[in-house]
Amino acid sequence: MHIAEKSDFCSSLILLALMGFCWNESGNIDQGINFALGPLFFPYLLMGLITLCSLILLVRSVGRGRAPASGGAAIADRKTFFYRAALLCLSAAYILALPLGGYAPCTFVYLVAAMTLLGKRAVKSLLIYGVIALCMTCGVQYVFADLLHLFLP
Amino acid sequence: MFLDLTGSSFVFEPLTLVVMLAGVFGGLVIGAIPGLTSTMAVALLVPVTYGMEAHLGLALLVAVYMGSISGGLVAASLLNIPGTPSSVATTFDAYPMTKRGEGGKALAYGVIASFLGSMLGFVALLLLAPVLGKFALRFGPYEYFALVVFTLTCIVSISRKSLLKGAISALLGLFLAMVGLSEIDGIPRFVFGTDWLQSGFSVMPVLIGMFAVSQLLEDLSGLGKPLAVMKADFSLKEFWQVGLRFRYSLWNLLRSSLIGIGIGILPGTGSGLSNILAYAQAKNSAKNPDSFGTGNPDGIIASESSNNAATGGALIPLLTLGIPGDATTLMMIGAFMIHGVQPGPLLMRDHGDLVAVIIIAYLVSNFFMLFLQINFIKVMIKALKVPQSVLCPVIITLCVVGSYALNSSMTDVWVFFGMGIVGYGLVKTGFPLLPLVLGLILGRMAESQFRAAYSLGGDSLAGFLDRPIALFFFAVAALSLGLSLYSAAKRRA
Amino acid sequence: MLKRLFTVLLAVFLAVPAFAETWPEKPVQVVVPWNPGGSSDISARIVGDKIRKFLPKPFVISNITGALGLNGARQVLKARPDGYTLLWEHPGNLAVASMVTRANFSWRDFDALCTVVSSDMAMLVPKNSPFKDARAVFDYIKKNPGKLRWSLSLNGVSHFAYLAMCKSLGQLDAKLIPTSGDKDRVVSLLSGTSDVTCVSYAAARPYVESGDLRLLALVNSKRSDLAPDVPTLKEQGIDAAYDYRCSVFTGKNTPDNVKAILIDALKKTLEDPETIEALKAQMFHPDFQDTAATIRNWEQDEALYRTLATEYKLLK
Repeated sequence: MHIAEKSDFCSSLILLALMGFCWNESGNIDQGINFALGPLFFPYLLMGLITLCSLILLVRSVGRGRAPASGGAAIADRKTFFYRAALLCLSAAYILALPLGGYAPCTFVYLVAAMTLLGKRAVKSLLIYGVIALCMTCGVQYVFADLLHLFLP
Repeated sequence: MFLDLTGSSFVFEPLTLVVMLAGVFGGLVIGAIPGLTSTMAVALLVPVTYGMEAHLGLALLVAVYMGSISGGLVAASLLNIPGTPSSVATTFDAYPMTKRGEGGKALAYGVIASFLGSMLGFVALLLLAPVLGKFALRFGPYEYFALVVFTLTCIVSISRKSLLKGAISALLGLFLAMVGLSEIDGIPRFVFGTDWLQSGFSVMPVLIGMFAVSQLLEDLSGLGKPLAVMKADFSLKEFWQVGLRFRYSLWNLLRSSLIGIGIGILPGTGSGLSNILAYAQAKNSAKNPDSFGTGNPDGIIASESSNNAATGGALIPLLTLGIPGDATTLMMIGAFMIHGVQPGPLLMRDHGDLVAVIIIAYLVSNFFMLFLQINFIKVMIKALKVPQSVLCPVIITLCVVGSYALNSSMTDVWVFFGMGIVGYGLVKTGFPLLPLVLGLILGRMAESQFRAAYSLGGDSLAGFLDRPIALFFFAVAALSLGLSLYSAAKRRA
Repeated sequence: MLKRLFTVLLAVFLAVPAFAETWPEKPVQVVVPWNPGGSSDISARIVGDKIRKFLPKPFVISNITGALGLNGARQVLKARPDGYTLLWEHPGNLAVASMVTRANFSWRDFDALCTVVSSDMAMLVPKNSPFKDARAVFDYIKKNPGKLRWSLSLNGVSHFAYLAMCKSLGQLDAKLIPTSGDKDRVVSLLSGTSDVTCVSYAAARPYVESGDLRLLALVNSKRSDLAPDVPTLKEQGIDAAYDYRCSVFTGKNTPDNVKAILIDALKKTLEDPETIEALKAQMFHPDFQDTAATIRNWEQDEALYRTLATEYKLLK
């Protein structure tokens, strides 16, 4: 069995697994009064259709023996991968820190850190980053917290 | 029947004009920023208008509404990140144009299309409001459901790569809308025992997460290089040339605007839906449909004119019946109520001057929007020169604020982040994002309307057979899906 | 670090009763779990605006929507119980939602302050409907089961109103059309999708005035002074009533003096003629009731829902 389109194969498996999880979870849905088809009709319909389509995708990904893998993604070069992963981790850390540290400090730190990560690492650039970060943070803070009375974390 | 416009001189007072100009500008900025939508902008400003006189407050809201819907095209064209759901379809053709170095032209197309779309919306508002208002009531659960089905098949059938993946995308989107408390009976579904899933997935964090994060991650592969190189600096002459070219697309413009107005009038749907439908229609009726998505200006024209026309359309049921045409006008009702005005069928009789102000404010905001955008196109193109290392984190922080501000919820921020990663994965494996987002937007409405239709039909689907409009939509949906399947099969053979 | 410093200061402040005299020190966040412009929201904004005369710092309304109002409730639950986060809700939502969604908290996990406003619920039909009063509607349903289309929001207040009517009249067999939201129910009447519904009087009034909808009765326990010539259901012989009351809550174990300041300020605001006028213009009745009465009301309402829900199998 020659799997031509690896990504499609994986995707369909993931989808099927997801449907499995949801099927499991749907047992927890309490029907109550079964009114107008009940809360389970639509989800089951959708799950059925998704499962069907995933199966078709699965079969197709296996069947196309001779076609070259076109839909798959080219693994980006290592440098880009590193940047992507780093940015994602940094952003996750930022979001984690937000409720704890408050909006202004966290955003400022994040902006400087991210810009340093992605851009030039010279002292002059650092200063520019700092200024931009400051303006951004204060600007947003002002508009939202003071003008619109929105509560930021 | 002409509306009485004598009360509208208020709009031309200096204070009002200044406030409205600021409103349009603020709206444009908000629309341009990914993560902040017009609905949110208006919702946030409604309390601010509390201290203002009713006419001023509502004129401001109309200006912001106009600005924010139009502003979405900036980020959509230059960054491939839709600033608001109403500009999603704009990304398809505007961004390729930017990549070719014609970003200024793309913006010009968008701006002019927006202006003309709003003008048509204005005409509808002014002349036909009472007549069209009645149209808002013609749609019942059957028709809404049929419309949803039609829209989804439209999107799936225009997905360029794989019909199957487009369908899976749409189904996933619909399914995502099922998470949380069910719309009709309030029963928790698929919450996996958590609290934060109880409110389900809000559209905005998912939308910006998927589009913005996936795009930004994609952009990182070009780190160190500017986002796009402009062929030439943009000039007013070029603007005129673009304007002149519109005469070849008049029918497209008209049809897209009509779609926008129609969708806007229907309560519950608005520019977010109309831009996609108009785009799909433009593509299907074009002589060279395959050029759509590669930088065909007609795609931009279709999307931008319809989303602006929809704003005019959404105001019609609001002013004639007190029923909001879309989510943003729903927020405006709050502004009415805060000032002690009850929108309803008698609004024009009891508060005719207020209605006149709103309508003329719409017209004036449109001109302001055109004026501001023309002047800012040059500035906006410069934004492309900003290095990604700065742009990327800044956009992320703005998206974070946008996701949080909607409901003061950190959960939404995590949804944004998580969906961003998922979105990136989807794009890389060839699944189109648009059907998923559309499925999410329409999912709850689809289910509620379907179940309501089912009850109406006496717990059966027989009710659908009596509704010609619904059957029409179903037929067209089936036809377009069939045609796409056919052409896809032919291509594979 | 800044936040920790602030917490220490706050603790110091709270620990010294003398300082509490100047409470509130910063704006008070009032969480309204519904969209801006909805009926709960309007009453909160009016009161929040007028209470400025009696409190040194303003009320700021936050609309935190979702999960049938539970999202907003959860927010207040999680917040520090220092009186700076209030919840503005009514039993039809909070009491019911916790039951139906099996949430792990209920209204009893909050400290009730007082009731603030009440509003009326109206029973309506379209203008060309053959029914001239409520009795006629019920007679029709009895004679033609399953034919009359009644739009209501499942597990919502409109549903419970309907169930209360069922209870008083024996089994009613109308065709129930699920439609959530006052505006949507009005639209369903106007567009001919349904024949009868219950919405808040505030939402219905513009259409009654224009003649597009006919008002059959008010589902209150007594006549409303906002519509004095409209009979209540009780008067027409149907023993079903629902009084739509809105109350304010804070987190559990909020210090008593803070609560007292809030209750006092709210009471004064509701007695203020400007407030009364503003509320009446929006079809609200100022209806101040103290903590004990509020808790009693909520308990009664909750018991009523529970009975109706169990009897009609909405709950198992």
